[in-house]
Amino acid sequence: MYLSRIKIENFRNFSDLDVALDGNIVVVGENRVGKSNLLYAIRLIFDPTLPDSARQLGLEDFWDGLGEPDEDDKIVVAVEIKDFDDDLDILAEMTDFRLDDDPETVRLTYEFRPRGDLEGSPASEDDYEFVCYGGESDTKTFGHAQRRRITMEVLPALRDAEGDLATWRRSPLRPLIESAFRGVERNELEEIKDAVQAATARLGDFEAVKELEEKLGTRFAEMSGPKQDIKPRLGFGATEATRLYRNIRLLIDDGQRAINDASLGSANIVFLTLKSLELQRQMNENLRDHTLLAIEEPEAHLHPHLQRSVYRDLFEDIGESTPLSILLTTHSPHIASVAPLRSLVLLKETANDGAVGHSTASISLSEADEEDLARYLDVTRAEMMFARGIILVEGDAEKFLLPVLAETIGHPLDHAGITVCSVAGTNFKPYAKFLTALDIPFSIVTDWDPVEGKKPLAMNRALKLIAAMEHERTGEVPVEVVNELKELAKNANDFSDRCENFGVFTNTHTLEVDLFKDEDFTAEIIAVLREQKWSQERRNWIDGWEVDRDTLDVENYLKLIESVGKGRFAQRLASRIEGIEPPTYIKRAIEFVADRV
Amino acid sequence: MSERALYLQAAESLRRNPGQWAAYDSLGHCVVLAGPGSGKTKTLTVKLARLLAEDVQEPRGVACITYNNECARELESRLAALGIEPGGRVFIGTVHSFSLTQIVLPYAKVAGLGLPDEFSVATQSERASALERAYRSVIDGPDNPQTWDFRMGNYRRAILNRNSPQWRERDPVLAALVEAFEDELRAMARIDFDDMPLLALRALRANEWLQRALLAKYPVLVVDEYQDLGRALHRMVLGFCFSAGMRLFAVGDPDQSIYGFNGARPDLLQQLSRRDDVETVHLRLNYRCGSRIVTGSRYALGEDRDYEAAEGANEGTIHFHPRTGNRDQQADDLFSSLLPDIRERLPDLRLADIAILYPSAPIGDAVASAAQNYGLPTIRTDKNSLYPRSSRLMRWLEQCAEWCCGGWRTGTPRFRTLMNDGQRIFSESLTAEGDVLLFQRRLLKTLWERRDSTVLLHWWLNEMRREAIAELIEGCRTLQDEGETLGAFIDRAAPDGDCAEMTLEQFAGRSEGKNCISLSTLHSAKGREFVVVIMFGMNDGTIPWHNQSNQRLVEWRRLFYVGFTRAKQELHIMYAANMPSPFVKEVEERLNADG
Repeated sequence: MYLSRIKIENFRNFSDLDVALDGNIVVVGENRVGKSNLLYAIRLIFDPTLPDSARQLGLEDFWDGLGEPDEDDKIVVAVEIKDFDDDLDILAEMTDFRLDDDPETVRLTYEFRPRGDLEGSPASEDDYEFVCYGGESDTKTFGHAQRRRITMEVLPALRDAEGDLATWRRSPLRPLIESAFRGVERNELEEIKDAVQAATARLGDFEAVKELEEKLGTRFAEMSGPKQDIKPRLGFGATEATRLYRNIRLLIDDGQRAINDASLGSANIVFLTLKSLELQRQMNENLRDHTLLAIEEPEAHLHPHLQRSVYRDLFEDIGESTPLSILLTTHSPHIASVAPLRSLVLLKETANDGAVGHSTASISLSEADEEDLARYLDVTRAEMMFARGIILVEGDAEKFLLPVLAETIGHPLDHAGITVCSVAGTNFKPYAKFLTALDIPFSIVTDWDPVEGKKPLAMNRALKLIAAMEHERTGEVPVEVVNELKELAKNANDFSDRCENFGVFTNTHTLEVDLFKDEDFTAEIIAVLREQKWSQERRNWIDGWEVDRDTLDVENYLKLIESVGKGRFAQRLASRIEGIEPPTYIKRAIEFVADRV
Repeated sequence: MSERALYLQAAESLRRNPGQWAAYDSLGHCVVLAGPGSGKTKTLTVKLARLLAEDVQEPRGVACITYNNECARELESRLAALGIEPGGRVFIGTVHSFSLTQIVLPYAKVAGLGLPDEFSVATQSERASALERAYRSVIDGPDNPQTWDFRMGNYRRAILNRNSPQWRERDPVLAALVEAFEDELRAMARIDFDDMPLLALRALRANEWLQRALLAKYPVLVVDEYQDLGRALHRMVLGFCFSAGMRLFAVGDPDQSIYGFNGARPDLLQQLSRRDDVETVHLRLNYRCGSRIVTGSRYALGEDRDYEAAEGANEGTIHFHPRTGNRDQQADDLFSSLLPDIRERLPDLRLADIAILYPSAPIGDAVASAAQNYGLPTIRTDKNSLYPRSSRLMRWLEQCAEWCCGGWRTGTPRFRTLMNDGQRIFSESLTAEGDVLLFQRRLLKTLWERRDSTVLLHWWLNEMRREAIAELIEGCRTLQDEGETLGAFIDRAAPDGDCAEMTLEQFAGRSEGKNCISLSTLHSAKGREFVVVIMFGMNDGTIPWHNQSNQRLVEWRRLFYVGFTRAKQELHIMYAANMPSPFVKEVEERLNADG
């Protein structure tokens, strides 16, 4: 089974959140945008450790924008579940809760609402009741019986992994040890007991230890009197055979040291290791059928590379072999970078409608596009997820130049939270779909790429891109837009002007050529080219172009830049162009995003 | 003692009987062919307990389908003795309640059954008016429309697939009448009892996922009294067990199939038992009847069966009582001479150990009034009883009455039992948090304040209905008919009704375990047993009727056989000397030939 949708109404900072999901959920968003509230909403449905008194919410839990709630207002949390019929145990629990018009989808709903028998408007919290039901009728209630089998566990943000590990009662090691020892014969434990007793006895062979023990005993007896004497002894732990296993401690460094000596990071990993083993044990022993494991801010105390390796493993290996859905809230691009592509949920505050969410769950991507995107997010550490706006560009040249140019026109990118991302080529489509799905403002800067005797490459590219973006945005094939653009394609200017409305910005040739033709840049470009040692023939080319800009031989010019290296060329140029007004299409592309963040 | 230990202990007593043990030990599909008194219910309940403890893990369960509510109650109480409470993982109920509560109610919308929102189960009077209107629009003849009900029911049960050409061709008028009748019901937002399995079958046929959903909930399907359950269930069983993967444990006895008029088909169980993938077990030892009665029963059935009385059984006696005079005189005779003789011979005999069985309810009227003349308490379980014994609601009210008449002092019945049963009966109305608690408070308060065995029943029932259960009945779609039954009985108990004098104590006395002679039709006696059985009115033309087809004759004979095999120790057969039933004659002759 997997969660396929969540809907939250009137709860805390959510007025009306409705997000498609694809099983695992990685919630990202700025501080105070309601990431924890989203988890708490899911707990209202699934968490068996949440008492009914906590499910009975308060008036302060209504969405702030609502004002005084009246008799029609209620808090609703609903999740939808799909693929619930592979496992017959899960099917048995879920089958009654199908949607009336869709037998393949189950819905579970939590509602906090004015009591049914209430007349008039609710006046206080006592006038409210909560109900948990499945399907579309609130008579199909569900409760602890279901939560016990399809269950949720929450590891809160600042957990004390070390402390939990050290306390027998709270330790995730305890159920594992207890389960393991259930299979051990009593008489075999007796042998260990004897050995422990023998070792304890030998402690007494040391004179100093013996002395200490005696002192302890005497002093205690003096203080307590003979009737209260508890006969204190020193030893390696209680020696009753059936309780022997309680003395077992998790050791590290091949048994050299106790876990308390490990770093906080290691303790956290150990904690997760034990937790995942315990989950598997509970599944194997048919104690539960599916677990939603929620971890708040899992990046706490973990180095970036550990964040990636631990959570990659959790998502890929454990998630595959165990009926487990992982729910994370995170600020860490490292964790977002290893999260399954379709698990991302981005929360954003709006002015009037509370926090809204967008997810990648239902983007339509080809397999190759999906792989590209996943690899890209991994390599760039998912910086796209955490930017307020994105400018997508073809390569390193733009990546180096755009920040400087933006500064010049008064839009310092870092300040606005805008990131320039290079897609290393012209395959913008998967990125554009991804950003559209998450509703992150973005523009695309791409070369016109004219071809002798044919239409410039940019035309078809832009047309397809816009069609894909509009499709993703509206959920429908944008027939009208496509026809309009095809019509406009007869005139290059009209076409590219219209494209700009959709955030696609083109030049007239390629970046380097367009810049050269812009008189403000010519001198600086010549200067950059001259930093290099060239043959006489090539020096002559440069001299000629300097005299008359219009004599530029594009092929030779690009040859020179190639041999410098496009990126290197751009970096050098960037250091020289501070204060120079950028070409119009770049200026507009920057403004397009800056206006929207 | 833990649940586990309870059933394991009970299982030990099956070990001596190879058939019972084989059934208990079966791993795959299993059909148990169980003769009278062969301990089938015990075998079935212990097996059920084992299935729940060993074969089916939480959250999945076992569904147990049986013929009527009586049988369901019997199974429930036997399972309770093994520590298993119904509800949760165990479903116990009739084909109708299985169809309704497990398929039609939960999936009506998603399975596309096209039922109106908030439909409920039609009462008898609602059915009658729907039939009346359907008859007027389709046939509009001179008959009383209600006389078509029986044929209509047969037709609905006979052709399950409405899309088959057969449906329209075999009897176009009936097909049209059925459709008009169902449309009338739907217009009133009602379904009727026959609808339940039909709708369930249709839902299963149209939605592939539904079979798997049922498999998820109930990996094992137990069916009791299979021979009486008809084709709709058989079709479901074939789908569930031989295509979706449920495991079947079916129990029954084709020789005791007596509900042909209700669509029962004894051959369906035999078909199942002949399948290669089904293990068939025969239970042939009769623990109930004396050995001579077992021998006589072979002649009564007229088929060669290898049944024998279990070791250590008493001999048992069969007495023939040819009588002269009319029915009333014979009934008088029963109480003036026959019964005193029996009680003299068996001084420890309780009245509850005696049953008088007769072929039809009108004959029962004669017996009942004779009993009244002699001041003997009786309890009737035929259709002329005060109310149908199958009404769960009425049976529950009897229990409540007993609690009020002093039962509260000794905990017989326990209040907790009343609550549990009530909760099950009214489950549809008790959904929200706190509903159950509220019901418990009201019930306790109502009963507590009316603990007086001498009050008139009319007052008590009215109070009970108003204070504790009227709202609940209202909210239960399946309970409308029983609500009507209660209303009708309250009218009879009213000052101008025929039961105006009835007190609470008399009503309470009707509940189980009280010392009354049982008066029952042969049909209603099925599954029960008595130390002494008096078969009354065993005349030619009464059993069987004259001019019956061969197939019907066989069923009459099975009915005679069912009555015959209710007796443990003494069987008495009363009949008119000048026209004994041919079955009686044959038994008598063959027993005499044995010497």
